[in-house]
Amino acid sequence: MPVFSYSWLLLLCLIGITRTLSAAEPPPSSVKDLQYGEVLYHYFQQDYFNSIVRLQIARQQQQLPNHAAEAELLLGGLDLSYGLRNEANRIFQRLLSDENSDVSTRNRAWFYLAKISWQRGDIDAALQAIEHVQGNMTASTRTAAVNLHSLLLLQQGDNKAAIRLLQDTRSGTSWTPFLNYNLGIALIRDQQQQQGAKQLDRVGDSHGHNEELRLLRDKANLALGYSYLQNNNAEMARKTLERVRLEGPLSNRALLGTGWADTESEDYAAALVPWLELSSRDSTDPAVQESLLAIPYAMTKMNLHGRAVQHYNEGIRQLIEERQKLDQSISAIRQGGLLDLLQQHDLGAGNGWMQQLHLDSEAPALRYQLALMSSHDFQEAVKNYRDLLVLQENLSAWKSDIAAYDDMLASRQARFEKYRPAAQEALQDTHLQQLQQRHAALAEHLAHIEISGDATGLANPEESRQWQQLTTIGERLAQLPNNRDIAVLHDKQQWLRGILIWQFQDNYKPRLWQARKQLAELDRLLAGSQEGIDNLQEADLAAPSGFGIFNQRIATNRAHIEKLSTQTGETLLKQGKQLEYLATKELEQQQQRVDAYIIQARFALAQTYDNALQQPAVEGNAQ
Amino acid sequence: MSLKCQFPVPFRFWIVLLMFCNTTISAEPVAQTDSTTASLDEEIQSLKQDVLALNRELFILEEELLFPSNTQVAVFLSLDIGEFFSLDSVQLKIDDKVVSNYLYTQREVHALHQGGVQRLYMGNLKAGEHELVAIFTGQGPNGREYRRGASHVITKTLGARYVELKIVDNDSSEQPDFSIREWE
Repeated sequence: MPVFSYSWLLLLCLIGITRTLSAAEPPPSSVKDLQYGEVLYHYFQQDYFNSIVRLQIARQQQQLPNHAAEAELLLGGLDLSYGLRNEANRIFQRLLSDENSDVSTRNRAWFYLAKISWQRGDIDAALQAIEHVQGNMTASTRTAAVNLHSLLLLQQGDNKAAIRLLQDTRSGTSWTPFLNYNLGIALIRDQQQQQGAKQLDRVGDSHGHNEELRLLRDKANLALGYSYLQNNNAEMARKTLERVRLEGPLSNRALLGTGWADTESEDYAAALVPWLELSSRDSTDPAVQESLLAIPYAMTKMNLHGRAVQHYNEGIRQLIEERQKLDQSISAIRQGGLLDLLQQHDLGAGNGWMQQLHLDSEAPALRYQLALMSSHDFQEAVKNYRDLLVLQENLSAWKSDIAAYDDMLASRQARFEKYRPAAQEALQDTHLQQLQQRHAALAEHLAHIEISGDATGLANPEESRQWQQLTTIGERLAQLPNNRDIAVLHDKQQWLRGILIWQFQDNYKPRLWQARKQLAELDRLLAGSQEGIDNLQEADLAAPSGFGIFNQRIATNRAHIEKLSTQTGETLLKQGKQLEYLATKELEQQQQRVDAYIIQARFALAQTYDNALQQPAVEGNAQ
Repeated sequence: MSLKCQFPVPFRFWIVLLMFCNTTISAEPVAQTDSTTASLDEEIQSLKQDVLALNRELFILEEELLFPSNTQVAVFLSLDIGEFFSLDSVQLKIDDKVVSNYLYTQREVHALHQGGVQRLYMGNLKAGEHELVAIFTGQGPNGREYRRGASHVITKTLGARYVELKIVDNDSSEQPDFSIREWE
């Protein structure tokens, strides 16, 4: 008879975990270039696409003089977050080959290179890269590097090295539970059961201030609970598994394990409590499916053969129903139902490469999305499909924009052609030149007045007329015989002349100031006019070639949009096929599992009938 | 016969297989052994790169076409700490004309808190003086409704002009300060 062993269970459950790592180091608290701040604005919203575009534009326009070095590292991190592993790899390699890169930059570049290799599944290359991270570094880089390093060592099976690394690391508070968890896993894998249990217990008994920590706590309790089960410590297994939240995502597995712990203690009635609760939950979950068979199994052990038969029959009925639903789901996926749903849902732009997708749908194609999403390949395929849909939307938006720019440019060109003759006429007009000459004459005149102190030069028109009249009168009087009447008139003329001169002198300074001001204003207006003429001339010369350049750029980009739209459409089709293939493959595996359950159940049912026939009186007594 | 021997072993196998795959806090990497998946992934990476490059070209073209540097004015918004003010919306007026009304999402405010700078407005202005008025609405200290304005006269000359609307905590008064700054 095969002896049930948990060794393979431990191999599966003793996998270290990591937190979702951000694309780059935390940026400085204040930005020194506005455009760098704009890049961060998109980055902090996990809108990696626009963050990359903005960063590339700012670099091309040389708008990042104060953040050049960190921009390169950030770009590498953004590329990695957006799934551009090849480009990210090139950037980090370039940073490492740059002699001017400082230790901090090198450490971060090695860290990301290790992460890229890890994501590609190349553990050896990842380990080689992570071992280069050394020397002084920020606490966050050091802890993130240690975490990744320990995971790599665990994946390589070097548990002792992982233990040494984790024990030698003092992490920041937020990382402590994660590193403790990994240390607990490493210790258990290294057969140091007690020490491992102690570490996992610390995590499993923590408060859990946020959902991430609560999930970690559940995970630690689940791993520790099953580890106790493996070591036949049913009591501790039950206590530990009971700490898993009843409504959490791991509760089904915890309920199942709690039942197993009770059966280990041969307390089958107690095992029925969690299993009956479990059997009422969503039957797409394998834990629930397993409970359908575990319940009659416990009843059989309690010699409740009649009830066990009922439950086996009911379980078989439910499993057959489940199998039919799987058939429906596979059929719906093959008919394009999954892709239709993915296209209908607002997948959002740039929600982050690592973000899980949870679609709210009862449609058959998505009935097993939880199980599907547990497959890494499927998750990646959905992300790629989602990204391609976003690219398609982006290209479609540009297609309509570029058409509008084309129209706009055409209407600008038409307007330019319409006004061009008038503009050319204005350019050829000599009016401004004449005005400039008059301005020069006025300036010269004023300068002369200033030098000579000739206040009459600033007389107003009325005063000038009066001055001219008095001068004429004076000349006429000079020609008349010198008698008394003439002398009176002459005195009067002189008196009036004196009054005028006094007025001129009195008004000289304010008038001079006023004249200067007006001349300066004229100067400004003439300069403005000249600038306008110059701009007109420049526009007249430059615009035709400018239109040409813009037309050419629009045409090139339009062709590029068309080409990429076609490519995106083709790739989307291929990715859709891949997605359907992965989904159906996963569901077919589920079908095989359900089939195996049905066979097991039928076999157990037959065995139960046999047992019932052999012990007919026992159940009656128990009931 | 022992209990362990009697129980159908495969039951446990399936559940444990799924136990630590379904709920990992972040997805564990898996080597892509399937060559189709790998080549498709390469194709998608290349396509993304091309679309990113195209977007870069198109944004620059759009800017040169719609906002030539001689008349271009860009207004940005930043938040320094923001303990005394929770931003809801901003209204921007230039020469008494409303050019932007922006309502912030929680995600955007979070990005501003982290140090991001938002490009609030891009437009064209003639050379000369222009009055820029920004009205900030949100919640001030103690959760009170808060509405404050800031104004600034910018002198537009040749070349693009960048203006930053800044919301800064004033520790001494425990109130937010709103200011407008021009960047060279």
